[in-house]
Amino acid sequence: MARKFSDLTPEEVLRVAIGVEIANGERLRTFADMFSQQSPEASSVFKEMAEEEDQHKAVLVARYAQIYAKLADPLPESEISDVLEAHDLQDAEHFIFDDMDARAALKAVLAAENVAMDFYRRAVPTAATDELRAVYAELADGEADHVRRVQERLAAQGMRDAG
Amino acid sequence: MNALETIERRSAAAPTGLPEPSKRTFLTGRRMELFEKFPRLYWLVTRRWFQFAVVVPNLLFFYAFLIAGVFGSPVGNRNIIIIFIWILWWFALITALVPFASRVWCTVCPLPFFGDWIQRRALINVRTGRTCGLQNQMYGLNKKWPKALSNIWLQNIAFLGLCTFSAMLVTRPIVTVWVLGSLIVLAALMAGVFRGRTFCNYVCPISGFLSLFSMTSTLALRSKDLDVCAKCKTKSCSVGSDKGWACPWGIYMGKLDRNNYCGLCMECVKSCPNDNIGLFLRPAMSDTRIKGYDESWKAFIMLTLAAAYSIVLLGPYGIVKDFANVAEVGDWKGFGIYAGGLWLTALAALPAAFAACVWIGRRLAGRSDLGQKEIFLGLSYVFVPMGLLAWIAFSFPLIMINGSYILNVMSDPMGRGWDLFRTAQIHWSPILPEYVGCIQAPLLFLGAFYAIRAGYRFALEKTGTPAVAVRLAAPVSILVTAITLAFLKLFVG
Ligand code: SF4
Ligand code: SF4
Ligand code: SF4
Repeated sequence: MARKFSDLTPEEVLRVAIGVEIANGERLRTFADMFSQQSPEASSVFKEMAEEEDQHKAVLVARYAQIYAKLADPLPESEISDVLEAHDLQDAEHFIFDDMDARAALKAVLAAENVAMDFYRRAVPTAATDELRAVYAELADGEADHVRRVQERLAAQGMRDAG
Repeated sequence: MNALETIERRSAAAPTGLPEPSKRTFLTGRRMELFEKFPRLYWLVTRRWFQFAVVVPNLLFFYAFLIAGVFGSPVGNRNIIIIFIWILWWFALITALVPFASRVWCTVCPLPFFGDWIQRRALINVRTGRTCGLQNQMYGLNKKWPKALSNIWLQNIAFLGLCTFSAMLVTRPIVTVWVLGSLIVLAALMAGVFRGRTFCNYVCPISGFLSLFSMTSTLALRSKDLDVCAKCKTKSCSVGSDKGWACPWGIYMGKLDRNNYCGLCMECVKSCPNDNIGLFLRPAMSDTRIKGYDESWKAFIMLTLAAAYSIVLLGPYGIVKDFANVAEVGDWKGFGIYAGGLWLTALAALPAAFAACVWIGRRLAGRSDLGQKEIFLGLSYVFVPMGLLAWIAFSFPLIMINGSYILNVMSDPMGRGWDLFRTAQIHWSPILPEYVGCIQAPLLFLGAFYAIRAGYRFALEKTGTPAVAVRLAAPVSILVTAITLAFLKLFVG
């Protein structure tokens, strides 16, 4: 039975955050593969974003090591009932491949990053301990940084599309 | 609300100690998951041979009907292709299959059989491999359909065109053979060039009304838990796997919130690695979102056709019958008037009357901030339940009056004097014709009820205030009532 995010200890929160970054990398690689022929530009956005997720994961692993000294296994997101951050497709019907382009890919990524940022931000005031609150806040800041970067990319893409 | 919004709400709510999240689906209200309730049904649809087993008998019948159409009697009511397709099949489709089983006709439809084979080169087994991002080996050119045609406008025009000549279609076996034969050839050719069920999505004239009216159905295939889909790393429902073909209709289950374009082929049920797809029984008229003008116009066309057929086939106006029946009467000028009136009403007059009602409603509600397009699309759903119920009301007398022909052609399918089951000589006798009106009137009222309720609910969702919602939806409700009364006059006198 999957556990609730709010029941996790600070150490587990970090481990599950690492697990989520790993899962996101896998999901984004699936998308990159899925759209490789129908929309190469969307595919390369997904590939780049997957690499970014790898970097996020590396940052979190380093942070974990800093706080807890020894790196435990990541906690798979499947063990948590909540959706913390999941990059997903937005389209449902009529050949979902058709509307995917670089812009749509970035929007999908942005949507997931926003969900994650919002999730951690709302978690901050609910934390039972100061330590947990600090971890939540750090994760929220990390996600806010990702949101900002994807927004910049989206703006640049908009200019490219318009130009 | 789309899936993402739902996820955001849930995710945002979780840490604040709100109630334990339960499985989230796009289905609201009462529902029953049939795969859980009937495990044998799940077993059946997850067999690789399932679709082959249900399509092949249908294909054989279809082939037999085509033969009867070519070599049998040219008299419509003595040929099985006319009686079985245009009376029995139509009646079953519109009164039972669509309202209670969504697009289950597409599960068993023989038209795409050869096309599927061209793309898969397999009848039962699934091929793994890589084709255009899918996890299956596909054959054919797998081209993209042009974006400008990626809607149901072609289907709208094709269906309206076919129905304009319906007097020929439903009385002359050879015309039916030509039309159905052409569809099967076109489906196969298109499958060789374009990917998946492009033909079904964008061209098949039957698909347009199936998609629209399947929104009303009590059956729906959906993700059992949207969170599982959001977290899913393979999206096998869309891209296929070693267990099932990629969705031929190009659907992603994790965001599917209406029935319109799911052909119920059950491939996704086989390929989902998380066993996360359920077949749900739910209240009628649950999908209410019209996404584009092409769908709105489909609703206008269907309602207009229901009225036109009722006038031509059931009404007391002999002259209109003669105009429509150009093949028999040969009055091309009259036919031009009939066809022009039909197209004008379906494509311009009814939409214009509706647009005017929407505009007046916005003024009455004092909500000109709500866009005309948004309200037009949202309220145009009212013609879906209304159109379906009008079609059902029209179809009942069809079977009650012509039902005895079914028994005749079963014994003598080609009209050649056979008597296989000793029913060929049964005399034509309508079934309880005096009760036709008693069936039609409640159906029309039910359609009006669902339509007005849907209009009000949409208006309430947009305005948030009951009094304002009533004003916004009032002109459209009046239009619905007026059309219902006109149908009633036509049916009951
Ligand atoms: S869309 Fe048309 S051709 Fe395709 S399965 Fe349905 S009825 Fe048959
Ligand atoms: S494969 Fe199953 S779990 Fe994954 S997205 Fe599709 S339906 Fe959802
Ligand atoms: S969503 Fe599933 S059942 Fe519907 S058409 Fe696609 S694969 Fe078939």
